[in-house]
Amino acid sequence: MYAHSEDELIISEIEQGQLDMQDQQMTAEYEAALKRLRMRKLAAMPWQEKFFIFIKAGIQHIIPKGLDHILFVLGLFFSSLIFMSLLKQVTAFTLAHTITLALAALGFVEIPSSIVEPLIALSIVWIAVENCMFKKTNKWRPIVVFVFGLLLGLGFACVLSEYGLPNDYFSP
Amino acid sequence: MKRISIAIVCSILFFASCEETTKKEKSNTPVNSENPFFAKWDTPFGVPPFDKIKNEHYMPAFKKGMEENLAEIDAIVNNSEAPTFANTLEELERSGKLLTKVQRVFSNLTGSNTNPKLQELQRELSPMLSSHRDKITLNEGLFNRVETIWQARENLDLNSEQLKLLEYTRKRFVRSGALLNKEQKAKVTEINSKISELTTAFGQNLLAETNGFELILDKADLDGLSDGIIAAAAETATQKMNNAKTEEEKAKYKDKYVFTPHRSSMYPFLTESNRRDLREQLYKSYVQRGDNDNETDNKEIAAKIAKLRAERAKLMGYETHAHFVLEERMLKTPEEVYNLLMQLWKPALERAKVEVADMQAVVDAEGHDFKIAAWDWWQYSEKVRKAKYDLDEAALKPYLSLDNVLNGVFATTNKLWGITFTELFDIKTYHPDARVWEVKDKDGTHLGIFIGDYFTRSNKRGGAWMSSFKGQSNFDGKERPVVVNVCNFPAPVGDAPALLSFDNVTTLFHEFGHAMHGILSNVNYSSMSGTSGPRDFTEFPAQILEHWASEPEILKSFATHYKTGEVIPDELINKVLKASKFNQGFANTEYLAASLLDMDWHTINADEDLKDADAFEEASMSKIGLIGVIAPRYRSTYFAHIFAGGYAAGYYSYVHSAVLDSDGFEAFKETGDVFNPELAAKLRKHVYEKGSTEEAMELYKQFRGREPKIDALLKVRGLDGSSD
Ligand SMILES: [Zn+2]
Repeated sequence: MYAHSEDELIISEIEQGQLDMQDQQMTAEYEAALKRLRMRKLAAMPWQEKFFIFIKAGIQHIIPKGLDHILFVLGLFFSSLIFMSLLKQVTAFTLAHTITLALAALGFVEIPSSIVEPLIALSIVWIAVENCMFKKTNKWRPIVVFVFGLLLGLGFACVLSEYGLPNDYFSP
Repeated sequence: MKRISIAIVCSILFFASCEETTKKEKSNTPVNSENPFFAKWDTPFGVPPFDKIKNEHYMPAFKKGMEENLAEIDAIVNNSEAPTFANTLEELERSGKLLTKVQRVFSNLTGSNTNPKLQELQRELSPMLSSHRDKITLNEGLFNRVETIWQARENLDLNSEQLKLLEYTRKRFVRSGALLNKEQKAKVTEINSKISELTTAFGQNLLAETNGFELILDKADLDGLSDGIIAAAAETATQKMNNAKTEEEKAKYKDKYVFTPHRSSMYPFLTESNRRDLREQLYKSYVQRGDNDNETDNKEIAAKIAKLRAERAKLMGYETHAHFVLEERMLKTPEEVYNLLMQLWKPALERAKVEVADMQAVVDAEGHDFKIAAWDWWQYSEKVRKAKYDLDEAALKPYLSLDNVLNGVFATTNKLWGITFTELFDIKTYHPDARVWEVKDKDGTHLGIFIGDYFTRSNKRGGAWMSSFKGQSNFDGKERPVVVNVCNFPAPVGDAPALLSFDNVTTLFHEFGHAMHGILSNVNYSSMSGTSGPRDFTEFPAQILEHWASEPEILKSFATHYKTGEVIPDELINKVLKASKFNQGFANTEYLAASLLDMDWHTINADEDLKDADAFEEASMSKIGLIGVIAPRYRSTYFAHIFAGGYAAGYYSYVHSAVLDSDGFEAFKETGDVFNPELAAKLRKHVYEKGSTEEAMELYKQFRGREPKIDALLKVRGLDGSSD
């Protein structure tokens, strides 16, 4: 055991002062280190493994971490069985979802999940309530769906960041 | 239909939230309470199962470990067979497995990843462990067996490593007083307990003195200080305010800036502050620690410790305490140490005087009317550095990303010895920043595990060190080591890579050299493996590796810009090399002065007439002609290394190792190839693989072909008159 005798500890305490351990900072340091570990892991993986990881992430995004998305799409589905109406809504959703996902993953927008997640829940409830209240889907439904799509995209970005999607995975 | 949809949505939402809560509950329940120290570790390569080790596992493991250890010792002593190397020395080597296992993990984590609970345990354990050690070294029955074998050693057909183990083991008992008569033993025990009380008091006083002074400043007093330094001082004030107990005390720190005599606080202030009066105040508070004629004064204590040590040495049959200490070192006598220090002293002092003149010129040019004083040194040396050496650290850093530097050190050792490194991700360590590599030899055989834990964090001790979680031995089957390097490099911000300063790079290579000493070790008995050798030798394998870091050829191979990939330009390399000679007069003078002071304190006679440390120190320093603008790196009243720690008559070790590494690297340069395969092989075989199984000087001579010379060191440090 090298350089660890008790006397060196005394010397270091005198010369450098005692350690100042604050829970909050230690947690932040730990989180940052965890993220670095994920990045290194990912960077060291062969591409096949990376591909597999992202497929897995995709599936996990839908079940169970993407329950919100399923509920939302189900909500759309329950509102109308007319193909054109459904197509419009699904397209609006996909488009919006892609935009915010890209923005968030690239680091342009960052909204804490404590705000995003409750809003997502609210949006699902809203769609459900709307389904019950109105007989026919109204005209501005695709716009509402678009806005909610933006929201769910942000939510998905949070899930992805848990897998440590590094910025350099987007070729500029 | 719509009603159904609401029902589905609601019920799914309900289940979803349920799932979340059960997950959280699960992670809060304590894991299986079985103590991992009592189980066999089935982890890859014997890396400790860090994820299973909890705070509450240490104490029971320590207690059981000590108990088992003592039982094993009893079994050795009570063995009815006549003592043999196998039934005594080797059994001793086998004993204490559990204790070692827990101690290695514990002492590592209390340094690199501690918490309040571990700190508390540390205080509790320290006296328990030292009394445990005493129980073994003072065990007469055990010593008698060892002594019997020692007396018969010539007829026992032992190989050189076994002889060395026998010699070390016997020495450990003898140096604790095993050969003394009853009366003498009692006297030694009495002196030991006095010394131990005094060294504890010395450390506590010093801690109180260092924490006791604070320079509390207003915004108006911050002239010259940079934003980062101001922010740190404000943070210190906030902390002090938060820790204050009374409202009155809190008010003292409100909206203030606090500097302390801790080096990390003092040096930046001395460098940047334009307030000469405040610089003087802070500096004096530092050098006066323990010398304030108050209840935490260390003057008498230091003198008493030195005298008691001299008395003990005499009892044991040594001329002085230094003789007692040096017996086990590479330099064997005080004469040899003085000889080395004085050879360096003159050139260092000459260089320091030139540096003073350079700084005085700046003072004069600025139109000031004062003579450079000790508290001006940092400020004006910085000005000289900027003018003369002009190395912009910020321009250098982008070439020195941690990953590049690691590749550099891996490539260097690969070129020297053919070893390879593979990063492993499936081994859990004690912190996500602690990375793991498997080290393999040229032919692919496993050599060991290297853990690199590089970034600073709030629960890590300052500085840099190497340690091991598992030792190396070829006895009872092959055991390969698990070693760790711990550093305090700034953590990267956001997604940018971690960028190092050149100092950091040198530190990384240094610690990596220690790690190689652990990993390449190839001896039979673990107690003589790796870095176990004498203090004035074990820095050699670490320090010699630093030389490769500043070889232009090697720098160019790894130092590429992290954004553009551009190789470090020659001009920048030249500046780096030139800057390494900066302020060497000062650095060497303060260090050598402290080393000489240490030697003076430990070559006194037991009946020497001395009352306190001040007069002694003054005489000692004026004898060598130390100039007033430089204080010894540590003055007697705060020389914790020698009065509270284990460096008595040993502070010279650093420079002795430096002689070895400069002279050793010179051997490579002489061949014209810094990777000369023959020399590299010799270095590995005679130094890195051997641990302490042979005399250090012999090992060095086998590698170098002759004894070390100091010329190369003078050249490296710019003390040969070639600087400027
Ligand atoms: Zn070292």
